[in-house]
Amino acid sequence: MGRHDDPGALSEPTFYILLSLHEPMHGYAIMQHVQELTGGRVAIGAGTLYGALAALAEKGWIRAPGGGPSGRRKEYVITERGRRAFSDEVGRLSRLIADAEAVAKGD
Amino acid sequence: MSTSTTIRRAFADFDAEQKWLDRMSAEGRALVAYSGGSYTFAEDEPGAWSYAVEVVARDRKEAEAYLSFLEDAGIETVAVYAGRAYLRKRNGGRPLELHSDLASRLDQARRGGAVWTAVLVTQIPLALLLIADAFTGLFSGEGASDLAKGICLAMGIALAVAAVIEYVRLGGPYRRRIRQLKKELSIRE
Repeated sequence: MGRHDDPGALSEPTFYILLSLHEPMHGYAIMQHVQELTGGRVAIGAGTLYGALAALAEKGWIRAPGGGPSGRRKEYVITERGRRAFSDEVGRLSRLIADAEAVAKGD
Repeated sequence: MSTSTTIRRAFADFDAEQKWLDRMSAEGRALVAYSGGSYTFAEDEPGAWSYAVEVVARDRKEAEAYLSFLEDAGIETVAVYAGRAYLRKRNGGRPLELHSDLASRLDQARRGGAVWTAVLVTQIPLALLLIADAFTGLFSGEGASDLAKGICLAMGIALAVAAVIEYVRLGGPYRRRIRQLKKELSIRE
């Protein structure tokens, strides 16, 4: 359903934010987690993260279980809808790799 | 004993302003306050702070929520003036990049450049009204003196010329950046 509603690839920051939020986490922790997970290759800027969290919450892919709108250190977690979108993206990336390998093997 | 200096400067491009603030910091002068073109610097360890200039929401609560989020990430707000936030972080000498992907950078460039379009859109009708008034006496009345009409005409022309110059010279860097980022976005994220 996520795929049907939202066609197109996820951006790299969005992918890693959704991946991180399989566990509840606040903004700064997400930035640190993504950097650790990718060995520093992906560093999400605080401004980018803020915009992405707002957009993902609006889409219903993540939610803030405890915090009100002005709550400090608000924690977020992925929703069922977000999990479906993330899973669709993982499937898309797997097919992409499979296609690349199939062609590259023929070289 | 720490001493402070105040420098008056005008920037039309956030990036140029940010680079200048970083250069000042590298020389041991850290921005501690800003208001209406006046930058106040205090002596500090050279390169201790990296700076960023960000457009913040007009809604006060929304702006506060964003700045509070940044504070949690170790980014201090030095000043907020006319919809711009002056931010800094102890970042080990690396530039403070708030926007790490192209879409987010494009959004920032659009927000930064929007002010110059707004200036054009508001100034040009005002200039046209002044010019029209000089010829028709629509607002000042038919009995207005030639001197008053001349002043109206001169002001209208000056305002129109200023609006076009501001739009081209000051808004130009943002429009070039938007075009460049759009091209980049067409081939990668």
